[in-house]
Amino acid sequence: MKRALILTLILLALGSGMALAQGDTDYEGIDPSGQTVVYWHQYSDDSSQANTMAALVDDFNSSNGYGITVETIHQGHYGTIEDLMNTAILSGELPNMVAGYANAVAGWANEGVVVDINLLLNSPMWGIAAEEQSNLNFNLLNVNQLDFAPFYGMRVAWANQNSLNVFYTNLDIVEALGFERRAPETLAEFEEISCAAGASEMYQGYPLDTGTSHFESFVAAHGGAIFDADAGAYTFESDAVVATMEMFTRMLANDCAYLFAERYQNTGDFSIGLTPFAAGSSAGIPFITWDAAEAEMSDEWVVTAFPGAEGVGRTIQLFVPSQAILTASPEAELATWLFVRYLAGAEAQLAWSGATGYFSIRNDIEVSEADFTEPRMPYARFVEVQGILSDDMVSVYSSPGLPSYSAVRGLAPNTIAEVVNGDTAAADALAELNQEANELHDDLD
Amino acid sequence: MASDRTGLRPPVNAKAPVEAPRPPIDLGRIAIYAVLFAGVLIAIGPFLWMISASFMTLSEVNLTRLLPENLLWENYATALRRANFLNIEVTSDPATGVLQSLGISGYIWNSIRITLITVTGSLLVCIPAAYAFARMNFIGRNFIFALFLSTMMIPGIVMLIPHLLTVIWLGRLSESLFGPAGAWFNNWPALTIPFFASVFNIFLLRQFFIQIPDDLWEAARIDGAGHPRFLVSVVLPLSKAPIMTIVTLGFIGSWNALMWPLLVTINDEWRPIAVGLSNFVTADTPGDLNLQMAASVITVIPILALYFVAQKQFTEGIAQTGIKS
Amino acid sequence: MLNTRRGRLFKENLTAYLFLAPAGILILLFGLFPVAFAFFVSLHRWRRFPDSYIGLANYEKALGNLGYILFFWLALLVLAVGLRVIRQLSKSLRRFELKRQVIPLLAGIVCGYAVLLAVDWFFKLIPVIMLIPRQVRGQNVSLELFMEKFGESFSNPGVYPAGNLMLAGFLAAAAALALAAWRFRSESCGAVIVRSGMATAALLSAVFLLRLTLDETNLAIAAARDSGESLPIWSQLVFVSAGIFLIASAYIIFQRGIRAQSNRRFALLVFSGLSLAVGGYLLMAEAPAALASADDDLLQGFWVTIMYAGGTVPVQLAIGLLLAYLLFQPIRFRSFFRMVYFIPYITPFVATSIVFRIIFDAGKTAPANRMLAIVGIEPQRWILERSSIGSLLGLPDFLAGPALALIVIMIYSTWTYIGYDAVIFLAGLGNISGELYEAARIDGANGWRIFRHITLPLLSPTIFFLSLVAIIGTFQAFTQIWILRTGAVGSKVNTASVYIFDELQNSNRYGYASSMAFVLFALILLMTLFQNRIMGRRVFYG
Repeated sequence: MKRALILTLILLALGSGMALAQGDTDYEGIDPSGQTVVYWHQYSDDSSQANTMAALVDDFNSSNGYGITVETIHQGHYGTIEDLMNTAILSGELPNMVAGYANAVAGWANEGVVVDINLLLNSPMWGIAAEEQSNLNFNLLNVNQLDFAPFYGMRVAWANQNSLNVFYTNLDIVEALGFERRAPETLAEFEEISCAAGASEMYQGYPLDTGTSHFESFVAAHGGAIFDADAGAYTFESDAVVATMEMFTRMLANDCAYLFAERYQNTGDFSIGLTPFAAGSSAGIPFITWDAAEAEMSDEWVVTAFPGAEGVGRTIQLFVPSQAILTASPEAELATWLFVRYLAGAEAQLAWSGATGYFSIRNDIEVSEADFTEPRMPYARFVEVQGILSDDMVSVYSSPGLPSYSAVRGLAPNTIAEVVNGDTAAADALAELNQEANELHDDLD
Repeated sequence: MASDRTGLRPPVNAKAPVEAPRPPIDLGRIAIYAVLFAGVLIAIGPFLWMISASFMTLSEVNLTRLLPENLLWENYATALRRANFLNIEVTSDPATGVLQSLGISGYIWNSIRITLITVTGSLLVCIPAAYAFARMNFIGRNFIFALFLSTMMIPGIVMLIPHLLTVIWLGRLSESLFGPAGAWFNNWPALTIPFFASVFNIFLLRQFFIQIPDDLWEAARIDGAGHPRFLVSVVLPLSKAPIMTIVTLGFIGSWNALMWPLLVTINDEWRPIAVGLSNFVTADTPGDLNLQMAASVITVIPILALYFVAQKQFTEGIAQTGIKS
Repeated sequence: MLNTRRGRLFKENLTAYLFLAPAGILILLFGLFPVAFAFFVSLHRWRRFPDSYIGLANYEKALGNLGYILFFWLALLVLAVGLRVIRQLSKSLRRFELKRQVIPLLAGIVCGYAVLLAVDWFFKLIPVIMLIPRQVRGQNVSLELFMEKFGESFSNPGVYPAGNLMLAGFLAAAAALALAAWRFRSESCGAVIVRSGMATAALLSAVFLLRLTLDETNLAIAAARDSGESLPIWSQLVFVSAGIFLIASAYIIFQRGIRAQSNRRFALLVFSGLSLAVGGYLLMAEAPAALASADDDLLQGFWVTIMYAGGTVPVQLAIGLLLAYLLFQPIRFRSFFRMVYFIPYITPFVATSIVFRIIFDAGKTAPANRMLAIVGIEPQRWILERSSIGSLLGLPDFLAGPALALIVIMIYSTWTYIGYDAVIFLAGLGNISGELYEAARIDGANGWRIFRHITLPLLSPTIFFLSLVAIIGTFQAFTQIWILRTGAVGSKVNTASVYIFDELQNSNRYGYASSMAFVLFALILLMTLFQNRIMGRRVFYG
């Protein structure tokens, strides 16, 4: 019975065709007319993103010339979308377009349900022409191009915006604590000021997040990364990771930092003038501004890249929320691409960036004060953060786009918390995490 | 509430009213009330704060104030608008004022529909099964009952993937038979049918049916009634309490259901309240706690209302579950 | 014909099965099929879609060598069930003459075999159907396309022969049943058929399980030998089994000892029980070695589950009973209290958990910390606190206990269920006759003695029921933990259910998750049976 079963499964695998080997669709002669594109996104109802997206969709639906209709469905947050995609992959009834970060999309691509956008992007008939491509910021877009096995250069998703994991400094608090009135340049400075804040009566230390993204930002600030693309392995035992872990542990032990429970509580505490620093997505700026206004906090605060370790300089982590095109009939895939292409156009990008405060994937647009309509965020902030992106001195980091990253991302906070709490020695805990992460990597990627 | 003074009595084999031992001194009574009121505070304290917080400004919630300075009713308006809880669209003829169409949608409406179907279906499926176990003799009765009971021990996570498969493929089968209305996925069947055969309900009803005196059955048989007629005309009228219990528990269950509905609905057409609330609360952008509290209160109101109406029979019915085996 | 005694019986059976049919079909689909499916999946490397057959490797990964040992026990258990049915069968057979036995017996065997053939066919079909979504990729998916592929899957070369075998089995079974019905109209003919069918199915399953376990064990041992190590599965099997056997018999002897009449006999039995228990305990020392290569996170998950159950069930029952007892006193506003206590149980988790997160937040202004400040205790990190309650109180390590975060979740869970328990206890109290109290008071018993000697024993069925429900509930506990856990405490509050769910939804390792879920199911079932036997015996039904 066992042998029969294995045989069956082998036959099935052969019969169904290798999942990844189907990418040679030629879209030249395809007609996208009359297709309906179902798009799952994570923009909360009534947010400026949801409203802008609705307006863009309306515009596309009425003007695309092929009678293509885009239907958007809000599916909760990224986690819910991943749950729903699990179901959709099992059932085979997929949406046409879905929001996700590179790692999540890589997981779906592993199952063969993701279209290689390069085929569409470079299509002579439907793609984006070379001179137009030069206006796109491929430094950002290539986060979604997976250059390793089994993807071999497949472009699994397309970004229409980006944000940064930025570092917030309350200048008034820094000055009140007796330091120079500027954002810290080095990690040593950062730690010293945090400790002074923790020791003071008025303020608290640094709100330390045990999340993986936050951790990665500090690893990057130590000049390292959690994944070594050349070696194809996770590097949780590397010097930068160990140094980050030591810094976290030290800061917590000396009351220079504290842990928090509610999501976004770190920026919340920052916005009411409790802490000198906080770290978080630049997408949170409107909320900090809003909360600060409501709490009548009038301190001056600045947004910068992360301070770095000796000799590393400033670093910034990019968040590149993207959309994947999922397999369907060539007609539907093409229609979806046309919508993606529309979103990448100068007009849509300007509208999006101006209304939401996210940054564009284009090099050639300038969001003027008149274009900028996000009500909770001052235009000056937008310009300030954009300055970080265009600063050549800032080195850029982004999380690995690996299918295993989703699971590793779930494991790491536990290890971080375990170590900073003193339950386990850092070396042991990191060795175990590294082993588990690489097992997942071998298993899933 | 005079009839309630003696505690809960099973409605069938009712016993004589019981006087519990009277505590000798009043100091003891004061202590009893003190403990009971402390219990009340603990039981509904969090709930009361939820209501209070739903009227606060954001910074009042963040500072964990006890009471709001001003009652911000607009929190409810905003929460209702943002979270798509209930939309009622009434179109009437502008000239005559005659109602033309009434469109109700939103998570609360979905939950109500889902609950009604689940509870009705569950009663239709569980009552005959419980009756068979309680009052009929057939080959393999104990074995089948044990098999049913053993499914109560299955952790829910085991079920997730096989349930999805069943729902996906049975749904396709039914859709090809009955057309789009027959679809299971993202439609009421996926949200309700898996919960029809509740072993707990069968167990609860069986406990009740067993206690019905045999004389009634003998009398019915002499009148020429078979099992079906006895069930409908004698047993069911006696079973208001356990049925009310099942209705209330079913209501609580569907109102609370989160994980499964999240996986089998892909748009708001049938998505229930808990999923809606969860999406509202755990968005990828910082949320407003006061609005979340308002949204939570909104979700709790219907279930509280039902409980206040049904609580007497519900408690009587639920009391049947633990008494005799 | 339906007026004869046999006819009536037939009719009653038929009506009963009709009554049961809807529930039975649904439970088969949504209760029993998932278990069988989980078992099937657990024998494979299986991510979202079926991959290769890997035997017991998933169980080995989860539980180390204990995985093999558990499968031996499972096989023996199924064998024991089969033998038990055969014993019942031979008892009922003794009542007939020989030639009347053969045909029903054969019919049962054919039926049992046919059922197994159907199962075999079904689990060959399922993977084929599951893979359909892969086949339709890049096409315009439609219902017609899916149904076409669905139809084709029945004639898949891997499925078709099994389907034919199954049909042949069903035909043979139908023929045998018809023959039995036509030729032998005895009352217990049905029972013979059912029992022989069950015995056949159980014995064949036992053989299958034994073969599987033996093959896998030998493979594992051979693989270990190739890499120059030794894998002491057999000795561990013997030691651990013997240990459990000794402890079980110690328990039985101990029970007898308690009931023994003479003192000497009592002492003797208790002594031998104790020495058996010690011997069993010593033999069980092998168990940790058998678990050496187990998944630490899973073991941690079981440990958290046990702490969670141990911390919530007794507390929740005790407080529930106290409140019910107080409510049962002649007081006013009884129905008001009863109603209010029940509110936490009916309020959706999503709503109440937000409030609990705020109450037990780590900040200085969090309500829980403010209350601590009144008593002069410094603020705690509550739902963020990984450190165990014992180490926070400065107790030695072996008294560490659960993490403070887990305690917050226990408080939440207890808070939710107290009202439910109190209402049922109240009902139980209402069923105790007042005359007993009266008699006791005349005898001069005081309040506590009345409670201890009258209320508690008479309430034991209720206590039994509630503790059973609560323990099953806590072992399946998922939602409360899932919504209250924070990244900072992670594995310290992950019960087995939560860990398995993470493996399923985040890592998509269906095969591995299924094997762990199956182990959890076996554990809950075993514990329920155990509790049923231990506590069920002490329940006083009046």
